Amino acid sequence: MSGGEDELFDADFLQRLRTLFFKLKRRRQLKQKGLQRTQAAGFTREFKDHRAYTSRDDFRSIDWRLYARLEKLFIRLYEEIQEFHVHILIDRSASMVEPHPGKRIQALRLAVALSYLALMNQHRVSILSFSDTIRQELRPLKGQGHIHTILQHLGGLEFGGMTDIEASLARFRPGRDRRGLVFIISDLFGQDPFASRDALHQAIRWPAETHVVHVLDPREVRPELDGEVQLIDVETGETRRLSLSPADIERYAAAVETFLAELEQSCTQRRIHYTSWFTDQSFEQLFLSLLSRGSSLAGS
Amino acid sequence: MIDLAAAQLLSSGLMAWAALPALLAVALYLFKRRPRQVRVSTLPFFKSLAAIYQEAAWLRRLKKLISFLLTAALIAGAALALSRLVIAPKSGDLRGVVLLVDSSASMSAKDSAGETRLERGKAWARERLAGLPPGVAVMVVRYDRRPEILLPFSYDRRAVEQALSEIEVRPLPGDPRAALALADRLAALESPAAVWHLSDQPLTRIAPSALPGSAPVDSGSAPELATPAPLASGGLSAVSHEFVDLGLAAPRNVGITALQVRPRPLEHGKVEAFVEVQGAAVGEAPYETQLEVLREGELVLLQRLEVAPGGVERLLLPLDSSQGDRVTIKISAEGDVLESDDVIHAQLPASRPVRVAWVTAEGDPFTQLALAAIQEDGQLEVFQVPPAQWPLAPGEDGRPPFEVVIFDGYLPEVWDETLQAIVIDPPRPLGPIRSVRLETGLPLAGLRSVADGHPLLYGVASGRVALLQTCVLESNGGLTPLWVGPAGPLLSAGEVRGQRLVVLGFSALRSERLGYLASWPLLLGNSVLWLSQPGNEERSGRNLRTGHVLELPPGAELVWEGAGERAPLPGSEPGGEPAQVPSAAVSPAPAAGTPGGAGPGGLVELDRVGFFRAGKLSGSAALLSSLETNLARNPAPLALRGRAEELPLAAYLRGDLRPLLLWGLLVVLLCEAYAFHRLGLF
Repeated sequence: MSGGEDELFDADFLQRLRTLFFKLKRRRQLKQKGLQRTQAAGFTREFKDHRAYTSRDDFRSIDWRLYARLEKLFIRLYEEIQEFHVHILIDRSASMVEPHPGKRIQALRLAVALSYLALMNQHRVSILSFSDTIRQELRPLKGQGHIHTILQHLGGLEFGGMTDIEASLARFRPGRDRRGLVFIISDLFGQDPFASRDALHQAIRWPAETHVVHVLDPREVRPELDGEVQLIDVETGETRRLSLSPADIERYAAAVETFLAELEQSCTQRRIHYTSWFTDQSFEQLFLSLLSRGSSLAGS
Repeated sequence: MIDLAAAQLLSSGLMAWAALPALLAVALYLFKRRPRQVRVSTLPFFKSLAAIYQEAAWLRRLKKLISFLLTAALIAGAALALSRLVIAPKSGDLRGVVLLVDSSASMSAKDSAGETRLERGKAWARERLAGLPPGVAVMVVRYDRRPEILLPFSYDRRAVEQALSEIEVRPLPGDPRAALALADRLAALESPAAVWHLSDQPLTRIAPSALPGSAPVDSGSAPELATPAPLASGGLSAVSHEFVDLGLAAPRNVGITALQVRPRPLEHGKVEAFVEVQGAAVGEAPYETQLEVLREGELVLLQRLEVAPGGVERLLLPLDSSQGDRVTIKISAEGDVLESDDVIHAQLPASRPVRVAWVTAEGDPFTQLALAAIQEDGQLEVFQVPPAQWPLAPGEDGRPPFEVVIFDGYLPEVWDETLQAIVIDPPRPLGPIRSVRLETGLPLAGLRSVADGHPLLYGVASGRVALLQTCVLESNGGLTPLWVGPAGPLLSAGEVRGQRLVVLGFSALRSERLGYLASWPLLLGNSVLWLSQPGNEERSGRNLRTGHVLELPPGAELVWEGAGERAPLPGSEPGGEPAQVPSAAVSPAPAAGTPGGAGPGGLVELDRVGFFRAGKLSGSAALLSSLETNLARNPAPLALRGRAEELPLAAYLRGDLRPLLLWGLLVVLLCEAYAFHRLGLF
C-alpha cells in the first residue's frame, strides 16, 4: 500500500470493515423470514413456476413439452438474480480537505466501505470523482479481489479545485443496462450551496437509487470564531473581513441549519436518500445507519 | 461660520496633551493590527450575514479614511472642548450681562395670583436669558443691604439658572447703591455689557450716589431718608442699564416700621413698647388694621387701628413687669401684600434687684436709712462692707457680686475702672476723681443745679437742699457737674472710659438737714438705678433690625429660634393661632461664611425675623424698614411675553463653544457607531 493508502485504510480499519460486513449480514439474516428473493422474473437457470401464455409473452418461453401433454400453452418462469452497478461519486474539491481534513478521510473510508460491501455481494462498482467536472477514476470492477485496486487508487486521489456539482452531475450517466445505486459523497459546499442543492434534482432522471452523503465537520455548522477575522474561501480564495460576535455566530448557525433542513426536505421530495455525515461521529454507526435506511445494497 | 480670528483658548495648556491621543490615533491607523486570517469552506453563509456590507474595495478604503477622519475630529473636538474654545463676539455685540436682582424684603410682596415679585423677576430673567446668544457671558448678583456675587461671568446657562434659583428673599431692607456701583464696574470688565436691574424700587427713590458710575458713599442716612433723584445715564458709556420694575400697580400694605422697648418712667421693672405702624401710599381708603400683642404666645392686647395711606401711627403699648418675656406684635390688614413687615418680636429685659455694696467704715445712719427705704419695694439689695474686706471676692462667673458700689468716706488704694460707683465725700483724689478736701466744711443753704433734666435729679428738690460741702470737685472730661456751690462743683456724674461714676462732695452725716429730706434717698436711688442701667441693658435682650451686624461673644454660636427661618414665625399669619416656639424648633444658624450664619464668635449679620440667642446674649430681629413697607407703585406692571426671542444660527457659533463641541462629539460618535459598528461587520 502507498502512504495515502496507509493513512486511510490501515489493518484496523479493514478488520472493522469485515466486522461491519458480518454485522450487517447477520442483521440482514435476522430480518429475513423465509426466502426473500426479488419479485422480478429473469432468465437464470433456476426454475420458478409455470403460468398460462398470453399474447404479450415471448413465444420462445412456451413450454412445448407441457403443451404436448396438456395441449395448453404455458410458459416457464425462472428466478432472477439481479446485479447492481454501484456508482460511488466522491467530491474531490478543496473544501473536502481544507480547513477540515477529516472530511476527506471520512469520504474515502465511506467509499471504500461501500465498495467492499458491493464487491462482496458480487455487484459491479464504479468509482468517480468530481469537482468542477466529473472523472471516472476506475473502470467498473467486479469481484472481491478488486478491493485492493480501489484502496490503492483512492489512497492516491488528489483533492483540489472548485465545486461545480451541476456541471459534474450533468455529465454523469449511470447507464440503463443494469439497475444502479449511486452514492454521492460530498460536502455540497461550493460557490453557491443552494445551486448544489438544486443540482441534485438531476438524480430524478437516473435509473438508479440515489444516496447523498453530506459530509460535514461540526465546526462548519458552528464555527469557533470570535472577534475580527479575515475569512478566506478555500476554493475561490475570496476574502471577507468580519467582526464576529456570539450573536453573529448564532445567526450563522441558524442559516446553515436552515440550509441543511431544506436540503434534506428537497432530497426527500425527490426520493433521494439524504444522510448527513458528521466527522465527529462514529463511522460504524453512521455506516449502519446509512445502509439500514432502505438501501438496496443492504438488502442484496 | 466660526470666526477663527476671534477664537481664544482659555485653557490652552491642555492642547499639548491632545497630541498624545492624536499620535496614538495616527499610529493605530498606520500600524493597526491585521485581523486573523481563517480559511473556511462556508464563506457563502458568512457572506449572507454581511450581505448589506458587500462593498467594493474603493468604498471600504473610503470608509476607512472617513473613520480615521472622524477619529481625528473626535480628538480635535475633545481637545478644543477641554481647552475651552471661546469665540469673541463681533465688535458692537453685547459681551456680558450683569443680572442684578433685588432680594430685599419687599420682593416678597405677592400679587393677586400669589406670585412674589422675585418670582416674577426670575421668570422675566429666564425669558430674556433664553433669547440671549450663548456667546454672551452672564453674571448674577443679588443684593439687599449689600451686594453678593452669586455667579461670576459665565457662559454656562445651567449655572446661571442655578444661581437664579438660589436667590431667595431675605427680610432685610434693600440698598441698591453699592450693588449698582459694583455691577457697573463688573460689567465694564466685559464691555460692551448691560446691567439688568430687577427690583420693585425705582431708582428715583434712591439717593443720587446710587447712580451708575458714582462711588458708593455712606452718608449715614438710611435709604428711605434719601431724596428722590432723576435717573441719570451710566457713568461708563460701554455699559447700558435696563431697569426692570417689578412693582405692583396698587401694592396695599401696612407694616411695623419702628419698635423700641424702654423702661417706663418711675416704674422700675416695667417697660413699654413704642411701635410705629405705617401704611403704603396707595389709594385713598385707610387701612383697617388689627394689632395683636402676644406675650409668650398668649394674647395680651388686641387693638384696632386706622392707618391712612402714607401715614404713620405711633403707639405706646404698656407692658407689665418684665421677667425676660418674649413679646410678638403683629398687625393684619385686608389686602396686605407684604407679610415680612407685619410681625415683630421683642425680648423684654429681665428685671431683678440691683445689688449694691456699701463700703463704709462709720455706717452713716442717714444713708443706711435711705438705702433701707429704697430696698422696701424690692428694687435694691444692699449689703454693707467694711473697708477691711474690700475688694470683694468675685462670684462664680468671675464678676463682682454687685452691680453698684458706694464708697462712703472711703476710697480703695487702687481704682477699679470696671465698677459703677457712687463716691460720697472722697477722702482724696483717685483715678477719675479730682477733689480737694475742705477740712472744716462749707455749709450751703442754696444750691445751683446746672442740669435739672439729668436722671439723677429726677424728683430731687435741688433748691430746698441744705448741706455741708466737704469737698470741692474738679470737672474733667467725663464727669458733668450737676450741683455747683460757691466753692465749686459738689455733685458730678458721667461716664469715664465706659465707667459710670457719681461723685458727691458732701455727706448726709455731716450735713445738717440733708438726711431728713426726701431728696437724699431719691438722689441715692436715682444714682443707683442710673449706674445699674448698663448692666441691665447687658442682661436684657437686644431688639434689633435685620441686617444688623452682631458681634458674638467668644465661643458663642448664633442660634435662631423658630421654624420659619427667614419667614415670619409660625402663628404670625393673619388670623393664625399664636405660636409657642417649641424648644425643639431651635436650630443652629448656617455655617460660617453664609449670610446670616457664623461660627463660634465673630461677626454675624442678622438676616431673619425672630428670636436669636448666642451664649448669654439673646434678642430679636425684625425688618422695621419704612422703605420696604412703603411699597412703590408701578403703573405698568411687568408682563411676560411667554416666549423667548429667536436667535440667528450665527449666534450659536460665538462665546463658549464647549457645549457645542460636546454635542458635536456626541453626534460624531453616534454617526461613527452607526456607520461602522452597526452590526460589527465590514
